[in-house]
Amino acid sequence: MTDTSTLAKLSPRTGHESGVDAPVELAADDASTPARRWIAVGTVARRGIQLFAVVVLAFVVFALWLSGLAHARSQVGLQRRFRSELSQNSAPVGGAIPTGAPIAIVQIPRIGVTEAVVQGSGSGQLRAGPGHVVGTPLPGQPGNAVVAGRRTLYGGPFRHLGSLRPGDVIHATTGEGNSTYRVTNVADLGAGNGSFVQNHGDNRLTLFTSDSTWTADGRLVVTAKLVGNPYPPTNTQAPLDAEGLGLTGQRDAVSYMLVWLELLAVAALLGAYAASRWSPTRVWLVFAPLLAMMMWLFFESFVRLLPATL
Amino acid sequence: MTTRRGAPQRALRRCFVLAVALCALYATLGGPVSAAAQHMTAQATPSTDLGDQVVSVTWQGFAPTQPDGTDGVVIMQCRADPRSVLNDCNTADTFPYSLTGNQQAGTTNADGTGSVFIDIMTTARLPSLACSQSTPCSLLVYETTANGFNANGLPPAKTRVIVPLSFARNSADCPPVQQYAFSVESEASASYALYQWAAALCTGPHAFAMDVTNTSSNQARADFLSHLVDIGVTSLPPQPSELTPTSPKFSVVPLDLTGIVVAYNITDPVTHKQITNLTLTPRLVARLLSDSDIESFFSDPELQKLNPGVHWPIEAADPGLRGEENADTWLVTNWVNSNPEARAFLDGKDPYHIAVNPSWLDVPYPTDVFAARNSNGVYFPRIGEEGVADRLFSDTKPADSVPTATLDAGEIGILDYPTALRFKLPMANLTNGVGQPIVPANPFSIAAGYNAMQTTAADFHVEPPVQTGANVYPLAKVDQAMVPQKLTDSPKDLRIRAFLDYAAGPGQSNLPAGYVPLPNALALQTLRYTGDLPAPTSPTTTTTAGDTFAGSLDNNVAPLLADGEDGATGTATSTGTAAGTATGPTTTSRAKTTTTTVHTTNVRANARFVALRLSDSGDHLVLPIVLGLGLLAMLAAGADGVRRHGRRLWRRARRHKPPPELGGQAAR
Repeated sequence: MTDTSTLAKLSPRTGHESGVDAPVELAADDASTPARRWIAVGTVARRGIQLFAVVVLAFVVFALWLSGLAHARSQVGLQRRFRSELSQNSAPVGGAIPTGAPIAIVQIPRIGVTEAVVQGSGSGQLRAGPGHVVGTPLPGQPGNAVVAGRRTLYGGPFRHLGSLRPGDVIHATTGEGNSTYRVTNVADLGAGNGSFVQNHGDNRLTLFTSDSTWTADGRLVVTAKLVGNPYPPTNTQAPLDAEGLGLTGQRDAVSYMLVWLELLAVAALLGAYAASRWSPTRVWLVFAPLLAMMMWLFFESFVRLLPATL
Repeated sequence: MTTRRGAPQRALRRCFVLAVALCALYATLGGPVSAAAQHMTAQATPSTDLGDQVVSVTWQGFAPTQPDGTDGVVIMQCRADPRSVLNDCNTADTFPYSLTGNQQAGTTNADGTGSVFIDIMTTARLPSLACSQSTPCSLLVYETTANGFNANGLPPAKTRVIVPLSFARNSADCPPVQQYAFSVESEASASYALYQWAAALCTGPHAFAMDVTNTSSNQARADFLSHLVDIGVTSLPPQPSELTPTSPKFSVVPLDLTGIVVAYNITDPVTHKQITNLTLTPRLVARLLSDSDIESFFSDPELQKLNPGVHWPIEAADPGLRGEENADTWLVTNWVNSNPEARAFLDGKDPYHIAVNPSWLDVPYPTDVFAARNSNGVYFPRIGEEGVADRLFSDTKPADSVPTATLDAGEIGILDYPTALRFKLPMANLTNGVGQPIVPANPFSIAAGYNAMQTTAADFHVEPPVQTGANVYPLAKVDQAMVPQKLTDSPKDLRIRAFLDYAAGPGQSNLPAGYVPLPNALALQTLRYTGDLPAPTSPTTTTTAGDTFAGSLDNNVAPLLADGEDGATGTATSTGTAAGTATGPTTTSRAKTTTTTVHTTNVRANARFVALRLSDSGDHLVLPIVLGLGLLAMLAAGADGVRRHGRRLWRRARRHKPPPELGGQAAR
């Protein structure tokens, strides 16, 4: 990765790089000691800014492409698991469903979505696929079943939700059977508007995601009405969770993020030290994968801080 | 010495080996087991031209089932020529469809014979097998053994029989659908005909695919009036309250003529045979519907008088009813309500002195939802036509099969005529009272029922409030399509026109069991609409507020409870009436009743969500800030790079191209 080289070469080349413009500046400033210190600070700041830019760029690459691979991989596993659960009649339909377990398959032919829906809609669960908001009935059951999905990160399964039109069909398969919904409304709701999780006295499926690609300050909500009859309701017990409503991150992820950040820094320093001793090839071979992995884990923990539906 | 004794020893050894080999051969190929197996046979009736329907499977030459259940028989629906139970009989590659597949268990009598019903499923219900005209299927009939078998293969050949099945044309015979020409939501009773017609219209020079959804009249009307589907098939006209200023104007065209039946599954406790002749009055139906002293239903004096010489089960009758809004419920309760004796029963003034269940006193009829009102009653309404039919069907056995326990054998349910025929369920004769004509449910009585119908201002055909006449079936109904008011020449409308022309014409000779071909007047109504016949003398196809049921209904209905508009602020509240409320509201309008009962059956009372406002977290700012800073950093680093690179270039330029006079000095 590009950032690796920067990190690895940061320390040993600092003196050399500063040497390039130092004579010019020194000639102007008459080589006084405070000036030298200011030059060193300026160099560090410049390097820091460059490093930050590279990390952000790497994050954008991670966000738009690499995280999609992680999502695709999770989906393969989830769909396989749900399929085998369906075949054994052991797919969960109520009670205390473990967070992250697949509870349904949602198909939206219009936008080409076929996704396994997991239980829970926190930032951590939505990495694997759309998540069922705990505290609402399961798809196919009486009431308002709510499912959240990401718009940008981790494959953005719901990125085309806004192109659904009234009358479009949504299929949901749960352990109780198949249900068909018809879209009745697509709306942009403000962050404070909780009507999308409320029971409206009918049987509906509500899909929502962030209302824009990079800032999640509202929800794009698609409402679909059940065609035909609901399956019997089950006791889903859990109350509604504020972190499951799509616009908040996972608060306790900060500590994880800091741990990965520290490890990343340690690895970078080690790499810098090694670069002054080993051949560049060897440094690359050893530290590039290590730093890439650390950075991946750092990004994953950072994403947990972001709004869950982003 | 050894060599001389070697010859007889070797001969003996050879004889022994030969004997062992022969025994092994006999054990694998011959023996009494295989002698019986050669005579194992099984048949399905019917086995050709099948749709979604119940067939009777019989078998002979099987090992008698032991009292402990060993040597039972399993019947599975499979692909033609199955190789693996897992892959070809539905349990493996069926995701995301039904994964339990389709199987029935049976027992074999002491004489090696047995029989069982199995509900054969075509593409619509069992997509993994996609049984159709072009994809024949089979039934795998096998004996269960203590050892079991590897499900990746088939049961051993000596314990199985495969019965081939062939199917009528269905949707799996259509080419893959790119886009549906138009969408239809339909009352359950019309859906079988619609599926069959859709399959007939999907190939040929002017082929098109139609999207047919089997639901209820209420749902079909609601979705048609909300512009969600192009055609809504209903057995009843919409209520004035269903029509809003934004509802589309529509015309009405009849599609099929059928009826509602009271189907049953009752076993005679003496003969252990299914009872197949039952006559009911509106009063008896009212007693069933109202869960009134249902334990002694079979000893009702009126029932005994109408059905002499029958041994009745001692168990309670078990009503099989649909627990959601639908037209059949409305029509049945309307029939009950319009009969004086039934009405007297419901008012607690029964001539036979049977008390009505107090929970049902003052319940306004007609209604379109059967709701359980008595928490400890036997009443358990089911969802959908098939939910009721499955329950009724689940205990049925062919007349000659091993008798079942009579415990569950008192079931009586409300179904439509095509569904009852599909499930081979006996149907009750109906009469308006003791001494009145007894009318069986059959095509003739249903056609006579149509003749007694009335036509509303909007061309809906509905039952008159009171039916009389010798062979007039009281529960006939016309499934009618609500279609756009006028068809244009758009591609969609041209296809709707082609479909309706087919439905009223050739489609009437391509109907599954359970329909009466449309009488001429009805077919003409459809063809006049499509424009393929001269215009009628007085076209009355506009929607007006006066478009109501015929008869003496109170139409001063309260508006349906307004649902919170989607996307509105979180102030919508659900009224969440608790299920099992002792008394219903005392209004007499249908819409009001509907609303209330919908809430008692379908809504989770959920106070937790009332007027929910969510607090705004600042989390949405994190990523824009990080990305913004990143962008700034990139700009800064880029500007810095450009500046330094530019400076380096400038310096290099100065070094390599010195002024001419300096260059001269350097040369020296």
